[in-house]
Amino acid sequence: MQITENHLRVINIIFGLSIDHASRTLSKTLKTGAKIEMVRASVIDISKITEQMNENPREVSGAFVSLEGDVPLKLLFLIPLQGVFRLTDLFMRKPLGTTTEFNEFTESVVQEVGNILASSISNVMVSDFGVKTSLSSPTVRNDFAGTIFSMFVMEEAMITDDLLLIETRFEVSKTELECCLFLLPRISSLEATIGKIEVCK
Amino acid sequence: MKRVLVVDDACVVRMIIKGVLESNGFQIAGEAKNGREALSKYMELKPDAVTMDIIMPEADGIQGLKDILGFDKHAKVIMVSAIDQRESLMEAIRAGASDYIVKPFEDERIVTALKRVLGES
Repeated sequence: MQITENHLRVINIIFGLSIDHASRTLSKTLKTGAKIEMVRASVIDISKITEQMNENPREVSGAFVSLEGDVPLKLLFLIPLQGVFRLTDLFMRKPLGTTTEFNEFTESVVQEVGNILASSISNVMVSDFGVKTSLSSPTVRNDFAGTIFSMFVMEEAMITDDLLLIETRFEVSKTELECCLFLLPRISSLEATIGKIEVCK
Repeated sequence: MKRVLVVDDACVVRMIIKGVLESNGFQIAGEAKNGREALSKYMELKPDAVTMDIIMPEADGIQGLKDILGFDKHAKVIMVSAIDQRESLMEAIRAGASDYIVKPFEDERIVTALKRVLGES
């Protein structure tokens, strides 16, 4: 499928609203100001983005969630291990600096934030656009950024050279928390997805 | 003191719910991390009520709810999920859930719901 400017316009609206909702939910969860901004939705070459991610030498934690149904997409919440400690303190309402090691609880915080973000996006898809979605339980992996990202795009890379990637930026407690959320809608199903949404107008 | 079984695949959520309940006069009967484990813990511990997540690996919360009610038709099971969708809510109601709480929730919401289903409000 050829993604046109018009497709990107619709995609920007759908995912912009979804990410706004996820942002409000994250604020409520952390009981502090949290903002997730959509940076861009773009069609990119898989090999280029994977190469860029491989240049990042840091270890990260990633929560993977799959949404199935009318709008099949994959979600990756990615955060450097140092950021996981900060996120855990915020989540547990402890003073920043309390958490200093990676363990079952820190991993569980990444898992739950992935779940909250994915559920929030799914809720908007269902309520505002009338599409059906179902979620998988999040799985968490810790590895180098490039390795995690390769796992994320692997399935799509077997079918196509291009990805439709939606990138976001996080700001928590007025501090940029270096984490990001990637959404990967299945390009092959986009036509039906957009068609379905246009029927719902 | 009423005893509650807390079911969620994320241990941090179990810990938060446990903290809220313990500081509001409930006792934690036990914990489980999926629907299947929830049934075996329910049979073993016979709690007064259950808080149950929905999206969990192996057996989800709706399955856990059905299984527990299959074992004890008077079981009080409160669903606690980030899924805020009519279909999910209706499925839980049809399966026999006592209440449905959307995450993130205020502490009081879960305490009030438990007291109500246990006839303490």
